[in-house]
Amino acid sequence: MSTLDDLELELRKLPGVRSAGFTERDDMLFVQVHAAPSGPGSGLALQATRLASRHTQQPVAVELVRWHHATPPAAPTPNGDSQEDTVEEPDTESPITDVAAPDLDDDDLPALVDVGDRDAEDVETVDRETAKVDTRVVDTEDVDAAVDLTSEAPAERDTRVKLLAVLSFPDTDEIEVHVILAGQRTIGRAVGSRGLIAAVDATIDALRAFLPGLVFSPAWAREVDAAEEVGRVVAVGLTDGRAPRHGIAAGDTDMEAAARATLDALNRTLALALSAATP
Amino acid sequence: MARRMGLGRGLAALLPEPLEHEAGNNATPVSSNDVNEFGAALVDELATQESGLAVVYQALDRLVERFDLHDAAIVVDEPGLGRQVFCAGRRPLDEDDELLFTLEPGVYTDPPLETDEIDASMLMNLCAVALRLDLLRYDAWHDPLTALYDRRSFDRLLERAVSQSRRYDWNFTLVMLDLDNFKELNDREGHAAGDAFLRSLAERFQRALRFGDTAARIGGDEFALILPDTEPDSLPKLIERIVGEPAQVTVSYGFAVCPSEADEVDRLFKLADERLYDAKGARA
Repeated sequence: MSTLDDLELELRKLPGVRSAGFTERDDMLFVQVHAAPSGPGSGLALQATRLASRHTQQPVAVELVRWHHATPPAAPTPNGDSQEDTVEEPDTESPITDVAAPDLDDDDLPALVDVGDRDAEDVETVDRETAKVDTRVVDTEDVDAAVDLTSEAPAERDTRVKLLAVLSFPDTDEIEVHVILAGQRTIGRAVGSRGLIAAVDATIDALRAFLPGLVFSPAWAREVDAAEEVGRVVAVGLTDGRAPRHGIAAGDTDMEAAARATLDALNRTLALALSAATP
Repeated sequence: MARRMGLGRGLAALLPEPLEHEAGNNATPVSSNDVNEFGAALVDELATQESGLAVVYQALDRLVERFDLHDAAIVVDEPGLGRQVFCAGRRPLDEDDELLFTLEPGVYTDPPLETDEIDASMLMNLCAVALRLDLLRYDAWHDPLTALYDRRSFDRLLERAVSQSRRYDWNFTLVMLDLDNFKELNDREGHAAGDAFLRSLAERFQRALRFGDTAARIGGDEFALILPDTEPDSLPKLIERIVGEPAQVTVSYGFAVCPSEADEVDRLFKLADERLYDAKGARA
């Protein structure tokens, strides 16, 4: 089976999932998951995001569309009764539920954007829940000229550290920051309850996979007032005991902005260090 | 019927009454030779292709192409599958399509087709069978407890990795892991706790591994990894991330690098296994 077939099958195995659609947008795999209404604590968007990110090396955006019945539509069955799907469904509505899925809370998911009741009579309503926590690759600084990691393979040269995902796991009080450099993905982790500092810590942890000697630690991190259309903006200060580094970036969430700001602060340092370490 | 007319870009139900799907009814009414040919070709593909989902989308694409449609979709609702929706081109739905989900199972096309042009019931049965086949294949390849690959599929994947390594001069590291005191955990806290630990460990595998890495449960408390382009030096940190600190159960592991240390499946397994048991001996 192709990777997309595998991914679609695994998505359809998640509780309540009815459909999955895919398209490429700006070098990103856009995954749309349609699901039955869910009770609290399902974390479906996060599960779908994890599945998608395992099946592709591209950045992934997952949009979760939940369907709610305003009025149970009548549908025939072999016995002439209404079908089971026409009533308010429980969280585990789909019988295809045997995929191993983490028990996650919805706390770490973005707020629902209710696109509202459409033709309210005899139709379902839909919530669009876009899991953009782990979406776009972030170009932080232009370090192409500073780093040459792969002189033997110039076609694969990619020297910018890019943010792939920021994921929070309230059940384990953990935050993960996924980054990629020259095709190598790494994951940094930190204690999630430390707020913005956790995102900075996790980003530094991820960067240490590329540069184990990286000694920077967060000095401070705070949100900056910004126009609404910019999203959340976070500034961070980092220190290695000598020269401070500062970064600022925007993101869909505070944590994502903090991770991007950390890359903003450290990308040039990282590029120079990697350049020096490369013969 | 108003709901059908409300479908995006005029998507409308095909064959409203005769082709309403009857769950559990395996009969496939055939209304013309064309339908027979169309259905027979799809069944042939379903029997020969590795992916049932791919056949479903091929069927939708053919439907669109053959009748010069703008769009087509199939909705099925069967015991064991729930309501499942398939849209031509595997595309995401836009807001105009949302009413699709208010409809009973059926085949929907834009523009609507005449009732004798295609057998919607056959298409819906095909979808259901294809999805069931894929689920069976999935179950056959995966460990039911952890959803990781099982031993049989891992053997095939390892053979493929070795073959690709030879052909393309790729390298990978085979890692075999064994939980040191898993039996004690089972004895102390019960098998339910042991199963929960294995599931959480599998989840950690999935989170820690990269795209292209492969993880499998090859025995009760034995796991194996295929890690392309991974140096053995990086393994301790990877294992630490997977197992976590503090760990309920410690892990011993052995590895073998292909092709530099071995380039055959048996030798790779043997070398990794020897190192695993050396590590277990050292830990003991």
